[in-house]
Amino acid sequence: MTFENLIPLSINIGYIFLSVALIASLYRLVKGPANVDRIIALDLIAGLAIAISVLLSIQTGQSVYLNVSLCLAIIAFLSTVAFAKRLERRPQEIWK
Amino acid sequence: MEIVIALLILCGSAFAAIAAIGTIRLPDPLSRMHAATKAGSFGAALLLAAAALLYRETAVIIECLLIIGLFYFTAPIAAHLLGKIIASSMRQRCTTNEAPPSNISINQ
Repeated sequence: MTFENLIPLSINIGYIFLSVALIASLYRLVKGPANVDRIIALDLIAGLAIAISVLLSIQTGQSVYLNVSLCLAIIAFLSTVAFAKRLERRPQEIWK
Repeated sequence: MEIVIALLILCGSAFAAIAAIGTIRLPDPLSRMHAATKAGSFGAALLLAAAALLYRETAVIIECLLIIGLFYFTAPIAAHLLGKIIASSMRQRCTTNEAPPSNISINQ
């Protein structure tokens, strides 16, 4: 028994999982009752984009896609901190 | 080695999916943040470990470790900032005897 089809199969299953996760967090981003929920959903979406670019790097064999995920990690952290600072200055917008 | 890599890919994407499902199902913002922060970064770390095992070059392994370290340093800081503003606004609502926010309800 050979295992050469194992990695492409698991990559496809992983794409399905990550698409379900993206749709779920997009639902939370649109519906989310508070603004804090939307920030949390945006943070999760950035993490899922990092995971998708890592999967793309594994699938195509190009290690350049890892640079994309490095930049996305930095930008996601900075945007979350910026949104949190904005909400800290305007507390009336937290539960809207 | 292929089995380990495939298992890491499956576990990582399953953890990311569990994080998103927890973001949908959990009742209030603090527990949603608990689900999204921990499980999401662990899923991404497992996928990066799979990439490092697949390439087996020094530069790629160092880059994967760098991304994992960045994730695990920055995710708690962002979650701490968000949790601080949620907790302080909840405390203000409790001390001023205000009505609880009407758009935060259980099981929605």
